[in-house]
Amino acid sequence: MSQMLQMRGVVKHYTRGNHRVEVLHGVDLEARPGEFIALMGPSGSGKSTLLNLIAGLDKPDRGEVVVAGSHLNTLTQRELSRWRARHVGFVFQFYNLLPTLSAELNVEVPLFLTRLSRAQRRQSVAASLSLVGLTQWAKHKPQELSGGQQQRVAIARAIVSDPTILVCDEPTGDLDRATADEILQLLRTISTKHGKTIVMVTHDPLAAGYATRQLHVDKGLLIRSEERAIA
Amino acid sequence: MKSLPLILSALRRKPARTFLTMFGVVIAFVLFGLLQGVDSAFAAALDRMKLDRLLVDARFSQPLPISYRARIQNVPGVTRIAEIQFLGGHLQDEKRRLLSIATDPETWLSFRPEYTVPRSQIEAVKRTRNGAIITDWTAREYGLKIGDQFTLRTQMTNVTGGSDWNFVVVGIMTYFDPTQHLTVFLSNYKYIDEGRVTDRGTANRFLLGISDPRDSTRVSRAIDALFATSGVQTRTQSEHEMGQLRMAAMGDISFFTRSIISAVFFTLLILTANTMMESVRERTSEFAVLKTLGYTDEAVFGLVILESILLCVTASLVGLALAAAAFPFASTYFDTTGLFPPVVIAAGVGLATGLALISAAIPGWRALRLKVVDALVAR
Ligand SMILES: Nc1ncnc2c1ncn2[C@@H]1O[C@H](COP(=O)(O)OP(=O)(O)OP(=O)(O)O)[C@@H](O)[C@H]1O
Ligand SMILES: [Mg+2]
Repeated sequence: MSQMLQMRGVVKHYTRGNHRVEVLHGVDLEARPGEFIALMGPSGSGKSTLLNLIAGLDKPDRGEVVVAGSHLNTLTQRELSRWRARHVGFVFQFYNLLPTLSAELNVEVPLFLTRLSRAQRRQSVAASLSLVGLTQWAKHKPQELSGGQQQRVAIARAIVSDPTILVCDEPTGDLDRATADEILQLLRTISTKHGKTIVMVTHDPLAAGYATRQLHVDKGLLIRSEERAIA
Repeated sequence: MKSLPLILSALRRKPARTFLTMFGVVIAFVLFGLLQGVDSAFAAALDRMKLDRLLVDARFSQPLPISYRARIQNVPGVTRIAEIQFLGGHLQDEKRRLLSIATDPETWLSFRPEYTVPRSQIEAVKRTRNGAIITDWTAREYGLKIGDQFTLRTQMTNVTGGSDWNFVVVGIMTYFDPTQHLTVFLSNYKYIDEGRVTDRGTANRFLLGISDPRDSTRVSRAIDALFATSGVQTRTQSEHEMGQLRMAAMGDISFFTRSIISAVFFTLLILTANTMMESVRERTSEFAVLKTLGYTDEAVFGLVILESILLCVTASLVGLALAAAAFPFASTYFDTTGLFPPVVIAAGVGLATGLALISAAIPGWRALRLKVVDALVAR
């Protein structure tokens, strides 16, 4: 497979009341396996919407979305759920961990949907937590962890089921500079060392600097894209 | 049940609320268990009193003409009837006493569910004129088995001129309570009646069934009225006269307990439904995250339902256990057995499940319909 992600002529609108909000007006986007893409753009420009379409959380009005070999337009809601469980890892701005579960149980949640045995699940969880450097914090609840640590747990959760693509919506939006850099470094490692395709939405040009390619969304269009080599 | 940690985590989210809700459920089920327990222990006790059976005896210990049988059978409310002739005696060994109940064994057994007899043996006694169905106790103690002949020495002269009656064991009936020493055995009325020389065509008593136990007084009076001017008057009574009075009280108690239980559970439903509603509303974004991770709408619905069931059923079990523990004390006030009826536990768990399902229906539906994009955007 040469392309991990292909979007062609994607159009998306939302209706709020009887008000029609045109969000995306024909977006074309392609990404190769292992690419780390940063999506930038002003608030309300449609970045999250684009990300949701890539992640199979929503369907476009028109156009085609092909991710990891699946034509998402043709899948039912139920099939999309299964597809997400298999192929997509999510990282949110506000971590979205389950507050009453320990770090390791939070990481295990996606694995409840698999056929893995308890021992296999434990093993994957341990490997993920070790990758994000939180082995010692496995038994702690989210509220006992710092923002950066919580986001690491979220990243461990996103990669635990070995997805093909990682989507991150402002993963460093709530973190200070130093912590943000650590998280971004971690994401880049996951992309280069583990070959995961990453699509990350960010407002922060420094964050976008960690990506291999930067794309700008403006008024529902991808207006500029620049290739960048990793420094 | 891999997702159990998720459900437990939901319940741990607001421990105080979970505890209070469970406490409410526990209290309600203690009440349910005790009231319902007394109610059904009472019903069981009444059941053992066999109020749907009436005994017709002669008023002044005379033999009852067998022709009464057909007339009694015609009284409205009477479902079935068996004649009974007693014949007491002993085996060779005088200490081995036996009492023959000469009757229609099949009908008689239908009045006595406390005995179990294989169907084939009932057929056998119908076929065998001098057949006998002895109790398991007799079989053990007197060393009798199916096919054995035995002679009962009695005071009743038969057509041979002697008073020895021959029987053959064709069946063994097992009494529900093995500690009872039961020396009765069943034989065919026809065999005794046609074999005897005096009082032919009579019986000691009639045993009859009525369709509605609450009718026992009316039916009894109707029967006795039927023979009031005959040479042989009857005296009809329930096997347990006292029970008849309680029957009326029973109806009142049942109504009373049902009213209390309904009121309690209506209140409880408001409590649990509200808890589930709040619990789901607070976790809107958690459900959205689960769906994002690949949980289907139905799976999320299932999580809410299971959470509710776990909440209600665990608490109900605690409540029922407490009720069962307290039951022996409560039952002394009501003159019932100290045994907590298992049916109450089953009914309680059923009720708790119903409560859980109703409470979780609307919040579960909301969680099912929740759209990830809306929930995550509208933060
Ligand atoms: N589920 C929805 N229902 C209705 N309108 C929506 C929905 N999601 C997004 N929108 C609207 O679509 C437009 C684009 O939203 P989107 O969230 O994609 O922007 P964004 O680029 O991610 O902005 P931000 O940087 O603030 O996160 C906005 O006007 C938003 O209000
Ligand atoms: Mg956004």
